[in-house]
Amino acid sequence: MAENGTQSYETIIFTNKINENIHLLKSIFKNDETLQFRQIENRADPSIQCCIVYIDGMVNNKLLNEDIIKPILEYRAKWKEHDLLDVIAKQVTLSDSVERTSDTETIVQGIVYGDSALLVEGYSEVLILNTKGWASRSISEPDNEKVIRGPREGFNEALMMNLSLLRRKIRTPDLKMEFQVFGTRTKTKACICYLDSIVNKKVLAEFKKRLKTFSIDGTLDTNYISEFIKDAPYSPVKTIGSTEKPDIVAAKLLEGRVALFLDGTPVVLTAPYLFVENFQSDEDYYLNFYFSSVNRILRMVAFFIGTSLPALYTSLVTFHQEMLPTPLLISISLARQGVPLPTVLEAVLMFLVFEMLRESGARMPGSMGQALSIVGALVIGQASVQAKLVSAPMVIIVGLTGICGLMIPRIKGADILIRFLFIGLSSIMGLYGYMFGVLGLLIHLFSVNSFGIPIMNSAYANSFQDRKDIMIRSPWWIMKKRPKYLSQNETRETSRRSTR
Amino acid sequence: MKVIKSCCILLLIMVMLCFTGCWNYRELDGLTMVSGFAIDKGEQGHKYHLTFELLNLSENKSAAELLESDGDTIFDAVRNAIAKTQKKLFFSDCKVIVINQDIAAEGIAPLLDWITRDAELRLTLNPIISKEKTAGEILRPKPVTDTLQALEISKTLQLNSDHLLKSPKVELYEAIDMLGGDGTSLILPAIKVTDSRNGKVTELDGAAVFKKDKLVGYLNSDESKIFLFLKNQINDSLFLTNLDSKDKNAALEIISSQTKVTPAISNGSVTMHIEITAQAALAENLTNKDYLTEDGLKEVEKSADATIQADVSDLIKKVQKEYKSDIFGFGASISRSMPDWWKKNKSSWDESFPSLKYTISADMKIKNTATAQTIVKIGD
Repeated sequence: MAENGTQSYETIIFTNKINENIHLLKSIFKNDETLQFRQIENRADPSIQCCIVYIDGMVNNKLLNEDIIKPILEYRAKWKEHDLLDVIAKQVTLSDSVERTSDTETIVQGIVYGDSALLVEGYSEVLILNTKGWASRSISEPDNEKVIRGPREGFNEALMMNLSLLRRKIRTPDLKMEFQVFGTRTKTKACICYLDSIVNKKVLAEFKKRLKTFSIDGTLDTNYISEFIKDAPYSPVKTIGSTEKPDIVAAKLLEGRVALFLDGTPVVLTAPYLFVENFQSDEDYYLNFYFSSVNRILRMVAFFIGTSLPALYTSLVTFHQEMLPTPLLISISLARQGVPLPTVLEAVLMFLVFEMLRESGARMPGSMGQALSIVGALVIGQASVQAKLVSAPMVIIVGLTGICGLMIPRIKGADILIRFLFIGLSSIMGLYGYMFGVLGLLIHLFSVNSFGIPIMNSAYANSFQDRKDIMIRSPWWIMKKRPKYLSQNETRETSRRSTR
Repeated sequence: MKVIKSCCILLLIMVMLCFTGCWNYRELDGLTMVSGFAIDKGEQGHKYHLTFELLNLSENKSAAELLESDGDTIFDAVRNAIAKTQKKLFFSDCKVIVINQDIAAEGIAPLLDWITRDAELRLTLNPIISKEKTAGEILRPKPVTDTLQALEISKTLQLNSDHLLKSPKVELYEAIDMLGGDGTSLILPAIKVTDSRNGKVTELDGAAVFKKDKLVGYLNSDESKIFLFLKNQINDSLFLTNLDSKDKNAALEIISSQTKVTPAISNGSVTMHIEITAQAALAENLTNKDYLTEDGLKEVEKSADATIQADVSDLIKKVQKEYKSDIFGFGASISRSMPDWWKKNKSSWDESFPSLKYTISADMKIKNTATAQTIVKIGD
């Protein structure tokens, strides 16, 4: 045992006595009663003694019984002429992956990862057989990335299955998958995926470099890693993407991005992440381009409304009443008669209530949804207006803003923060303050990079090709090239044969 | 260190924000909207008496409320009004200013100073001259379709300038331009109160003519329309003419109209050439003669031309004779096309205007006869 609890096995060396080895393993896995030892002797030659070591629950028991234990028990051959361990590895066991090693670290890692270690009398080396088998969630549609049209499968928590989902989308040896282990204690496997001929080499190098810069004892979700490696970690805007859908990951890789899979989580990171990706949806590419373009513009408008509408309302109502048309002014003043709170406080409180409703809606059991909507709509909306606690226009503003915020889930967090910041600024200085806020936000956005690529790159993309997938989604036959800033290998489609 | 530094900067910015205070902050509940106000001669030793029409929002419905106050200046009277209301008067939606004709006769320039100077009042509001004894009376009748009398007047003015043209629609900035302009005189819409079955209503009634900033007289509503013809401000309006009789018995709906005023010098004196070209539809025909032939329409055109010429000539003569005030902007059009002559004769313009010569040519084209193919026939 080394300091800090992490184990070092350099001093532990296996011998050629099976009982001593069993003892050794027992001391390593002290107090761990899931570790199982199964001793076997060959029926034809009882002097051949083996012991299979595995962790209960991590292995496929049927596979272990039929493909490993049974062949060893029943094998009849001339053992002595050959290296016994080699024979078992090559001729007896039916395992797809067999590794022969004497390294204690490798053996322990294999056992905890669901492999079985086969100890053989007379050998200090051990065979590690792939017997992994554990229950995992089936492939289902991710709840927060639902589509109307397009692939519905989503990742689950098993790394290899996730990688297979990706591989099924991109069937080429050009798709590189490099494994890496994170977490000094959890030893979580991760996989960096990219398309070798398309990926931006600088981004890839930067990505790999940053993955080596930190050390943490456990990584249960990709966010553990994301927060260590992303640019502008204090910024509310995302500089690294995340998704649960293989088709999104495949599309990002095809654009020259890098993806990071982590075992135990369905969330996959993609980098670099540009600001415009907040408004892109996988469905944009599966639906008709007119419709997708409208949707995308709507999402951008939603971001504007979601961040600005309450601030604009506050500044108009408390500073610039002269900018309201007379009938609107009359109806707003009428609605505000007798409301005790100042407009700003009214806005902030209503948004707090809205965020509470939203958060409780996301966390509570599904069966309570109706109760929540009744409380939200009736009690907080209607009743508070009737009781003159808040004004009706404010409820409309909060409702509209809230809906717009929900429309752009990828930038939801930033949206809420910016909204409150803007409300604060405009409550102090009116439109003047709001403009300060917008300028500040723009300055910030234009100064943030994601793995060496400015996140607002698409805003000043100067080639026509680079603009085809920003405000609108052009038809596929027009998007002949990849965005230049993402990939050196620009050509996406080389030719289009006319059907006529 | 970097974090501490940026925190400090953030803190400084926030402190700075606090020092500014809430610049211009005011809640809607603390304001009461003034939709219009009337200026009269003051009582009790004060120079001005103001009647404000306010939006009263108590009891959950909007209603008009009148508030009166006195002061030695307009602003003084506005401030004195605070003593009578719990809310601050808010002038951004003030649409109409009604000015008493007696005050207008003494000069309206001093009245307009605060109104143009203050930041809240808009330059697009409409000054109107009241023909009643006090201007406040204009705001007193219950509006017919709106809740606020001033809003109703402002909308009537707008509609009037689009379809009726019985009064000119003059916004404050236009009035100021006319007042200060070279070779133009101010003209403002006039308003009066008339009786109707449901009580009193206000009615636009022609225009008020100014010489310098003093009210000198009125144009009636027909004259106002001819005035607007001359000023090239005709939109969609009716023009009545007489076909083979003394009475006006045919209505033309003006589709478009263009008036050109060009000055020309002959023998040292200026002559204004006024050309009116208009397109119209024959909208109503009260005679029993069918004018729907080519010759018939020509006849209508001819009669309309003659009517316009006579009306315009009458109007110019009246203004030259009675008011001696260049409301048509003839001086301005001279200064544009003949600046040298204007510079020399500018000072004597007031004397030369009453004897200014002019020619009028009118060309009315009948474009269509609406949907009628013939007249309504009376059987034998």
